Amino acid sequence: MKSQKNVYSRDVYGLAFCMFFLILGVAIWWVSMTYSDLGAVFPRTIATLLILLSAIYIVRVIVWPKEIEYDFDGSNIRRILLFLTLVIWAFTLEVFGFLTTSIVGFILILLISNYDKWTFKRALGLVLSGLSVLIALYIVFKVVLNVPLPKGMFL
Amino acid sequence: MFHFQFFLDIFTPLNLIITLAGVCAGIVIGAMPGLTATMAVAVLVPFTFAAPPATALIALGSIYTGAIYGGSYAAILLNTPGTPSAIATTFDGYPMAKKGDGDLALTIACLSSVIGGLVGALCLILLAPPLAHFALSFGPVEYFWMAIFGLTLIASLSDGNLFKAAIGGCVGLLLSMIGLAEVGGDVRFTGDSSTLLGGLDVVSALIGLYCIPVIIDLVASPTSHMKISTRVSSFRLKEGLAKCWVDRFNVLRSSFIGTGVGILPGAGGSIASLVAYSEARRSSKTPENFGKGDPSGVIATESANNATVGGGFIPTLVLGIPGTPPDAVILGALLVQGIRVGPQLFTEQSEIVFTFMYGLILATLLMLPVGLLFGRYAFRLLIATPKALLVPIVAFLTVLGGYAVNNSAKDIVIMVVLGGIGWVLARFGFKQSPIVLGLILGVIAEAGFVQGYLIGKARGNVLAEFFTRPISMVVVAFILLTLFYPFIRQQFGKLKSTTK
Repeated sequence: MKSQKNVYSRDVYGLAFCMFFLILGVAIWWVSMTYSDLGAVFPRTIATLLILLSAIYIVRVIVWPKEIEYDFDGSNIRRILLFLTLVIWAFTLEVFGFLTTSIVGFILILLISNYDKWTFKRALGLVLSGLSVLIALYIVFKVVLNVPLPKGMFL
Repeated sequence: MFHFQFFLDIFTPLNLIITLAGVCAGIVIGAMPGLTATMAVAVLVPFTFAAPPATALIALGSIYTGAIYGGSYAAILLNTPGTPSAIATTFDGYPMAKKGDGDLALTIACLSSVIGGLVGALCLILLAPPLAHFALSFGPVEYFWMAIFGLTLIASLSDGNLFKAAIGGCVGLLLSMIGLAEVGGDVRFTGDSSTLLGGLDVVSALIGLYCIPVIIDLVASPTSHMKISTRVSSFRLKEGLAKCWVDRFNVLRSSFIGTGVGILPGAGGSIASLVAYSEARRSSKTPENFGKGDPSGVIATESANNATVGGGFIPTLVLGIPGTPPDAVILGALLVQGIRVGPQLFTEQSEIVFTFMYGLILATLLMLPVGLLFGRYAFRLLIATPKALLVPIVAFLTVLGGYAVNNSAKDIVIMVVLGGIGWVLARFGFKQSPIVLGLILGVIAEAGFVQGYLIGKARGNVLAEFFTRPISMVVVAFILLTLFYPFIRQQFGKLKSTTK
């Protein structure tokens, strides 16, 4: 696991984000020109505010730089894997079914989040206890609360 | 005494069992991320149809009360507000839990919720008709200023960087504009996608922005997800009571704020808790501790959001206008029961309405033992669960909750995408709370602003519409006080030291 605490002489990331927000504000202004007066008044007000705040922050970072510390602690590979699992889970649950994708998603995230040594007993314990919670909640939502959870190709 | 008979009526075995079951069911549903108090009431409404009207009403009130309190569990233990009204509970509740004081936070949340709930219920009993008529004097402009008042909280959530917090607030406000405009009917920022036509669902967005960054960070390191307090074996009730006693003015003020905001149709617990939090921070001697695990923050938000329960029933029962979304569902259930709401309800069907009001007090009181017990075991369970198991279970709960909001897989996609964006932005100093604040208050602010603008235009003076109405001016005064209070206090401090 990498542990990084980076100190920057100025907030370069903040600068980059504010440039993006400044462009976003301009784009919103431009898009809002196609709306009616009533529909455009609020987006324009907020876009103007966004442009002003971003511009002020950019000027502040350039003219009066301040030291800033960003904490990049932890395993980014695990973070990305978890996020990708969630994205795939979200996109496939209607195709394969809620329960099927949830079981697969659950096991994948279990693998991603585990740092301890796998033993048969530990794996069995974690999988069984996790799946029992998952199936119990599935039944509560599906049967008791009548939430129409998608069945998809499997279940 | 007339009322005393109704008070005795609530102590039938059926009413007691129903109240207890309602509180327990409400707490459990409210504690699940994505399942709001509205959903808790809506899902359990059919179970009350067979019961006598007063019992059915007590059941719904108990579920509602329990669900609002239940929202604090996930907010404190997982940084995910179980219900939108628990957003502000995350600000200090989660930092307290991370420091090892999760049990204390839960106890304080329970005590504050009970006091808030009692204040709201007592106001409902004693002041329902006059307060309901006061609510009618709130027009679009007042709603606009109330939303702006809520947005001033961004300043206290800035975490040392006001610009980034304000930019986050703007991003949230812009997100709230996605979809069909409430006034004007324009289709905005959808990118021709039918998915976004209805706008972003607040609950899904909330789960995404709060919960997904938490689980993304949980998997990144092997360290324990929560510090374990040495006093985990107790409720820490004495400590919680002492904190509430020291902060008694905060408890009462927040409870009255909650009741007042609850009376306003459509405002709801989220605004009440945000306004109460803002006021608590403004008047605190140590405002810098807010957001870092200050129990006063939890006290303010939890007493306010539970006070909205009683407050929300005032316009619902007196005027037939639901004060909060769950009240709208309860109003429907009342009609099914053959109860006609309105001022005549207090005379023609007084036995039902007063039994219900006392039932609400009973439900709030029962919340104390039930809440303390649930809180204790929820905290212990969370500590005992290995992180490798907790993360996939929380992920499953977010997906399940996100789907259950509208029975839509598209909401989950939006939730996950917003979660990813929220994590990246938070990493670089743009925290989630101002974004969520903008997202929630944006709709109210825009509708109030545009409607106020139209009324002002029709009357020939837009500025007068926004700046001369008495209630608006009171709210504007509070906004200015909130924004400039630190400066005023600093100046007074300087003046005092110079005089000495």
